Amino acid sequence: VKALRDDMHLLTGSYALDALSDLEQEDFGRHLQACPPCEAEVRGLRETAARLAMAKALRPPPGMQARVLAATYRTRQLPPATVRRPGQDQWPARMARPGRERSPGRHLAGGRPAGGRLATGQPGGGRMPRLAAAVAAASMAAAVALGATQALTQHQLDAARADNAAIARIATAPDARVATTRTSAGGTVTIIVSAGQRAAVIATAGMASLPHAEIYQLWVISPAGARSAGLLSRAGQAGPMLASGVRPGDRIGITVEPSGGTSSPTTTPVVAVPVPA
Amino acid sequence: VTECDDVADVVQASLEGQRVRRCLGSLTDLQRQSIRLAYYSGYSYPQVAQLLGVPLGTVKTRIRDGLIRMRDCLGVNW
Repeated sequence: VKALRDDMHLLTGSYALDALSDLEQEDFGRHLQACPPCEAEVRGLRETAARLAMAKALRPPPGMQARVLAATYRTRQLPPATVRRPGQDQWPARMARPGRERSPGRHLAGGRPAGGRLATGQPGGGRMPRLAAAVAAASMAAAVALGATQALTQHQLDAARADNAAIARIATAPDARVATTRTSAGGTVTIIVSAGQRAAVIATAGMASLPHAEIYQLWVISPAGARSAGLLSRAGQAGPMLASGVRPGDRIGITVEPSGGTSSPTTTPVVAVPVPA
Repeated sequence: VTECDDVADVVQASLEGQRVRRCLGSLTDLQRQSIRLAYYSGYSYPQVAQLLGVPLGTVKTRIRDGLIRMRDCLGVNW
């Protein structure tokens, strides 16, 4: 049994690259649920795989970026639950799917069924957590994420500590702003932004679990393009995530992507929160 | 948004790309080829094994070892 488990564990890399057969992909997906260390490793390797795209797809094909952005900006924004600032985005209430073009690679090129999952424009809701509550929630999520993983390596601990320090720095910045917005995949996303530090902390809660071949991907969307800020889990609960290079006027978006992540968003964001000025 | 911001973004993206390529360069040939075929060309790992003429188990471990090396080289937090 141990040999079998060890052998299974070797599939983390291929799974992260979406290079298993459909059957194996499903088997391994089930195995992951019972194997927290495997799940943690897969998360890291998927994040790594998402970065691999940078080497190949430095520049999207001509026209693609414009189309994706046009679609992104046409996407109906769910009303932020926080105080609305005058002049803040008024998006036409119309949905559009962005271009399908992607970089080479099966998982990148593979089409996705036209989604019925995406935004239907729920009434804005949620509440604005006080900063302290948001920080507590973020720290709690980090603690839960850590506790859930039994086999922590020193590297993970160091990384978690560094993240926590960065989260604390952003959350306690004098210019920190908090916004909580509902997503069309259910649940909410909370962002804490420090314009001075050009960084944001993003935490999600209660988003719908995705099928095994899909994952939530986080983006910093500026008029110049969308930049991946990492992968969330299929359940959207990856603990608080950090995004750097965030400017007022950018949007923090989350899309549903194939399990390895992509170099550019390929679906309409389930949420796109404007970074408060 | 100024043109300057666009340039900064492109430079940033290009630096990240260079970093990924540098890290790919630190892999063994078999690790790199396996990841290239599986990720960039989209082959499944049994296809990769066939293409490279190596056993299935070897490809599994090379893909995993290579990705772990990439993860550590890129400093991916996980």
